[in-house]
Amino acid sequence: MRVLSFDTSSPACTVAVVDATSDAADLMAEINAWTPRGHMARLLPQIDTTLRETGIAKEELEAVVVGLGPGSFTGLRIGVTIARTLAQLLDIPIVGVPSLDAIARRVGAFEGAICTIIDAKREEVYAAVYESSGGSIKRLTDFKPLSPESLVYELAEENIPRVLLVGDGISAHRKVFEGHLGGRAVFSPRDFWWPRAADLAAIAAPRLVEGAVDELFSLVPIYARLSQAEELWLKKEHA
Amino acid sequence: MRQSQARKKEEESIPAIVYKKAKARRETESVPMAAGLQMLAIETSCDETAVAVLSNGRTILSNMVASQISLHERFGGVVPEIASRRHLEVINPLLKQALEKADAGFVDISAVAVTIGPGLVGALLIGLGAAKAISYVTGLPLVGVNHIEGHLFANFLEHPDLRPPLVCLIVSGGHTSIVYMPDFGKYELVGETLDDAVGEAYDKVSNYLGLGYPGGPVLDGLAKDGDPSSIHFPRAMLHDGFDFSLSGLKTAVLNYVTRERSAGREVNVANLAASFQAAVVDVLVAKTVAAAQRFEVENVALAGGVAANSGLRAGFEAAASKTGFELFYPSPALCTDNAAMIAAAGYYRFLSGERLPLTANPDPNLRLT
Ligand SMILES: [Zn+2]
Repeated sequence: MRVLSFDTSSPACTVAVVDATSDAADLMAEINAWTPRGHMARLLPQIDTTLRETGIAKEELEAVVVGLGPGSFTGLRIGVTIARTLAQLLDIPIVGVPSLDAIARRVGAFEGAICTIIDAKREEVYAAVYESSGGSIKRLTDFKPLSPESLVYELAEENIPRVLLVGDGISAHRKVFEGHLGGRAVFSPRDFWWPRAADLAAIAAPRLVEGAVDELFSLVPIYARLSQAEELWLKKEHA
Repeated sequence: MRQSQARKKEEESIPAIVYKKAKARRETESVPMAAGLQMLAIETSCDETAVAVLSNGRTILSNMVASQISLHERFGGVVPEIASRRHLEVINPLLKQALEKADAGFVDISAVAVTIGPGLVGALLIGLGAAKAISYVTGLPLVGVNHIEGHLFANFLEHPDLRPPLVCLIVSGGHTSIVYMPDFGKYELVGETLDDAVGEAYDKVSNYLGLGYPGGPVLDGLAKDGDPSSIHFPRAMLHDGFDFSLSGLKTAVLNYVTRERSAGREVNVANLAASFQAAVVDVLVAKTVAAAQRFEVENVALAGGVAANSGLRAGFEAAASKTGFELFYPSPALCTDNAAMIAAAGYYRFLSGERLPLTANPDPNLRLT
């Protein structure tokens, strides 16, 4: 099954074309570019270039996979709008995958607890905790934004001997993690911090093969936060 | 090399004879026409998601608008993040509906037009993203449209006899300006608001009085039962150039209400609305008529959401019969944001050979002039 996959939740723009089967997603081509605030201009030309690398015509694509975040609201909407419209026009199924799950998959060889952390601005991070064992990864939490302090508190509560931290939330808050978790915190190298489209496609592959796809008209990003106007409104209502 | 190939492909996708004919006709008459050319258009610049299919630059085959007014009501104005989220939710089903209503498939479409600005950047991104994806899959040429030019073109949609030169008053929630249009595609800014847009002033006054959102239709409705000469509000800069200032008027209304309330008098809301509206309309009419005289045009057009305001229309009707210019304005449904007007403006831009590349970004501050 020829699958186009991409993610625009982070400052990176990542596009892949894979051949998906029930137990594998063979990578045909992947292009990763560093394009903060440049997704609108870059995504479609980058999709076109990636497809050209594989020799597959866009009409031959059989599914679209898109990263749902959480992450930059604007970046996510660009990716999801384009994914939905491509799927609609090509009349092919669409599957959305949490971008943090893709980041966790990149470090799936690690045995034990994995925590993905990305910068959520406003002194918060989006984080998720996974259990990785024997090559399979299970997410244990959802994607609420929280302060790095509450995150380390939650991690410290759990009786985990070691936790692998991965994601660009590390760079601003490294000291908090080191200070509270000490030797239990293992930091991934920087080049693992951003999602890759090949991982998204691999996560989506079993669902695509089974036909457990998403509803095109209701697929939206994982915002994990209300708009600030709604947050203020709720605060006022409950004051 | 690749560019010229791309252009060649675009020209092949519409019948060459039609394209030539349209060009030739444009030299002899002002309104360009090309038979059998269907334009798909998308508009998402503010709080309406809209998709339309327009045939031959004039016949509306479908004009779908998904309004978000109810989502923004409790905030008293458009919240950009909420607007962007909603646009993404509705754009694809709306596209499907617009094509179904027009009884068209992509094989019937010749080009795609999309609003690229001015507007809320997050909102514009949704329409542009969808339009670029459509263009990429279908190979259809893409045209970027200025939202304000779209409002102006709503007039050409409904008045086949309208031709430039003309002077147009563009009034909406975000814009208040007078534009001189000597010919198609040519614009000169004559005057604009120095502070609040007209729609914004209506919203603020209505909000202050607790009358609801959007303020324009609310106050316009109340004004019908009020006496416009009951309260005197200032007409700022009435004889002073072509620019507007509306924040002083808004403050005068708020001061009046505070004064009356603190004196224990009940405010007659209908009289207040009528007097406020009269002050706004007097200034807009005076400046627009002065601009028409300055540029010696016979045609005056109104455009934008506030052009649906009945008080404004009545004011201009009266001035037209007194001064003798010909007045044009779109029906209310085409005054507010819609994609048919974007298709009409895009149609003109398409015929003049303009194209938008797949790398295009929106321009939230795009100017007409
Ligand atoms: Zn508008």
